[in-house]
Amino acid sequence: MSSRREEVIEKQYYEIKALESKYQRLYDDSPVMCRTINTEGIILDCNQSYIDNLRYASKSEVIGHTIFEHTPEDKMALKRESFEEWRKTGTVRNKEVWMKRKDGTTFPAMINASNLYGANGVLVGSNTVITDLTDNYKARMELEKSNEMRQDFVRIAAHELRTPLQPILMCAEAARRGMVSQTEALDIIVTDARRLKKLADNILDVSRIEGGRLSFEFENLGINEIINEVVTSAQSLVANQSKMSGSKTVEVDANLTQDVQLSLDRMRIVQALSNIVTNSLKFTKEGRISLETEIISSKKMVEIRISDTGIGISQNILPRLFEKFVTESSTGSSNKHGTGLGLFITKSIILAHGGEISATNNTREGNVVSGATFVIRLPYIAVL
Amino acid sequence: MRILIAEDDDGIMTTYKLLFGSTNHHLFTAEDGEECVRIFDSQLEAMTQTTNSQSRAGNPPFDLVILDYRMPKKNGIEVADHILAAVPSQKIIIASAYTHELIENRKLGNKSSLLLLQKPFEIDALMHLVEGSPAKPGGKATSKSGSFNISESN
Repeated sequence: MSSRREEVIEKQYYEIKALESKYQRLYDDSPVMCRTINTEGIILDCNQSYIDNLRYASKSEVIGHTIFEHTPEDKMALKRESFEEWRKTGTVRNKEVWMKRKDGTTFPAMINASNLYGANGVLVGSNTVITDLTDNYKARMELEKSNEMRQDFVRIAAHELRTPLQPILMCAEAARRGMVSQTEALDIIVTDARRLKKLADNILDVSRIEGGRLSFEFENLGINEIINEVVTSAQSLVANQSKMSGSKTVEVDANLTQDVQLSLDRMRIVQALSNIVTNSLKFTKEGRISLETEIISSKKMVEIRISDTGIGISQNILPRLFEKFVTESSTGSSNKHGTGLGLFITKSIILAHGGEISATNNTREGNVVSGATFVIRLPYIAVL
Repeated sequence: MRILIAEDDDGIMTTYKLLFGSTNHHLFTAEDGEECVRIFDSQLEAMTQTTNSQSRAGNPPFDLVILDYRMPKKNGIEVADHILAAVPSQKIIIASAYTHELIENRKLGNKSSLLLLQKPFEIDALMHLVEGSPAKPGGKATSKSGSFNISESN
């Protein structure tokens, strides 16, 4: 900078300081960023908060430089436009801008400017108050993302509800017209009405989970009793399926270790374990589904392993297995393998119990073999 | 009629079988997109071998193909692409809960001969497409009964 120009800036600085001396402490010590500029946009003064937020070492690195050096390149045109507007109208109120730090990083901010007038009433500059909006911006982004996810959920859920409606609608109408027997139609209608109910229940549960409203009633229970209940229920399901198909092809059994007492919501934990077993049944046409437990004393956890001899889990699905609407299909989703809500709900229930859950494809001596294993760990209170 | 149906939902497939079984159609069924392509190709091959290839060239092996959109291994549009590449005149219905999105996202390309059926659909809407005349590009919309030709929406 030329010495003549420095003299002008210094003169302007003292003129403005004389106007403002009364509030200098407020300016200097303010937690929000403050800067004083002339009508060319050259910074005549700033407070410590401005220096700190823009990550400069000292005031000398800021004074005499233009505000455009503190503006990201991609926002420069907008900044120049609003600066010209200020020069013409003398007004800057609650304007959202982007600022650039010394290290090149950027952040959103809001600026408000109060104009400074010289003795002859001519605009000589402004005191600008700048509020860092980073937290607001993040919150707004999260809110927008959350809204998008909610809209996606409603859209997909509405579509998914149509699938079980199709056979109900067609069978009822076909039976009414005498195109199919009432018994055949009613069997399908009842099956799909139950599927519809399950889907509606799952959608409600997901809604409660996402709203933090899924309630739990904890009580002290032995884990073996819970697992036996899940196994009995699964065996009954397999027996019914076998009765319809005429052959029994999947065995469900439990191999339990010493019992432990846990703090559990009986209904929810049965729901979580049943979801996994039902999921395993979908992908296991023949073979075995085994539930095993093991006490890990060092961590005061009980490990529940649910393994099957089915087709395993696709590698492209595995990393997202516990997300909503992820199912086994190359096209993102399919009807046969459910709507992909069960495992999302299961994980939420396990986490609410202070536990953890993971899934892997089965291996033997480093080689992938048929089937998958879900591993759940839950904290126990005491060994029984 | 010879009808090929690809549908991965057990309930819907059973319903198709009940409906078409009672009307003496010859049904071929597939649980996923790849199985559907295999059946189509094998039937096309069989037809070519058993008939005069000159007289049957370009004729479809099925009177109708009904495809679900969301299926394992290949979706309905991918299957339709394969079929139409081999036999452009094959009549195909895509039955899906996602028909509007297929149109909005322009996933159908220029396959103007495809017929769309919005799930859940009424029996009459299905029967209208099954028993009606082959698809005509630009044909009159029948969306009141749940079905429509895609060319009306483009």
